[in-house]
Amino acid sequence: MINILVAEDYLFNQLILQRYFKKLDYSFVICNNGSDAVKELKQNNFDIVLMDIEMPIMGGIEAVTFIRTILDNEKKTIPILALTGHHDENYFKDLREIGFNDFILKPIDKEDLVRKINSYLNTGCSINNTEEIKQNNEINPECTVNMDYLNEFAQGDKEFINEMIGLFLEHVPDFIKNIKSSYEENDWEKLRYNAHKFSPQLAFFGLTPIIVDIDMIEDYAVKQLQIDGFEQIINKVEFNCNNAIQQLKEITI
Amino acid sequence: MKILVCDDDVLMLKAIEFKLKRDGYEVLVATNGRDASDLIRDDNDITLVVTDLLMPFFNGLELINFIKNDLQKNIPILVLSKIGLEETVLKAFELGADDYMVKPFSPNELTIRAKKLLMRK
Repeated sequence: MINILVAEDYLFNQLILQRYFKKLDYSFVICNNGSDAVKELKQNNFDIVLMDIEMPIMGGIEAVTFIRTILDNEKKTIPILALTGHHDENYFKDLREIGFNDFILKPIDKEDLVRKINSYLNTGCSINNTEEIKQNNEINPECTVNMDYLNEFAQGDKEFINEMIGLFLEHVPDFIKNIKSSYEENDWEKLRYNAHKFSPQLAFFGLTPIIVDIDMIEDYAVKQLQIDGFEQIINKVEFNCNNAIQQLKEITI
Repeated sequence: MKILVCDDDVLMLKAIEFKLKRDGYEVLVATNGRDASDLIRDDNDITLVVTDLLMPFFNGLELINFIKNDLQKNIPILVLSKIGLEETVLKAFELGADDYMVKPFSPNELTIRAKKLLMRK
């Protein structure tokens, strides 16, 4: 189970996060300030930290600096996401320099929260190591094709289902190719377009974990945000799409 | 009744075409706004247009503008959109779109919305 440490002094945000984490079945500890969060992190193991910036006693910036410099090696590299209401590129850049990996904008959007957390953890389809992705040829159980949505359309018409699978198998490699090339060429508009178009296609086969990543790519492309690990997300999408292709090829109707 | 569906996503196009044909409509398809505008200009039997917004060449907004303002045709238009294009959807309504659905949508919702728009006409 994912274990999350939260440092947030604003009660409303604490309640929102609590509600989301309970629904997602995440385990969590919430602290009211940076100092308590550092103490908690020293004593217990967590997978990721969500850190507000302005808090009493010890703010987020001091807490992150402390974690990155003082704590032991295993704990000082933990992913830390800033909780912030500032929509400013320079501010985000400063946060990264201080030691935050990424940020979650307030008001907190559940989808954004899940995407960001998943992108830093080995959860669902998340695989952070590119080499591991290339070497692992087994089906990822979290990325299992689900035909429920397509069956809603098909109403038992097998020919239609086969036709849809054929179209999907034909078009996926092009989407992956276009997403990769537009990323390499820094062509944000093309990247956005391809991600935008790919997502509904994946929905026909219930490939939700890939959709989450594709939507994240689209979101970053719209905002023209270059983030750490962007290439890894694209590699992960490719890996999971190849898994899906493999599964669909094995489906005999 | 004849429905024109326009989407550059071939899977979405195929699924909508399949569903609407099952519902008993005659269906024409186009993968871009340019082809759709040619079909709508030349065919007076089209009673409903279902269109995506983000497309190459002639996009959905241009297509709606062409139908409602250039051709002055009173054909109902059902817009398809993905979350994140809310402003574009609003522009579509300003140009004369009649209804919209968010992708991915339930096939039954498509049936109901198409039926309602055709009844309104």
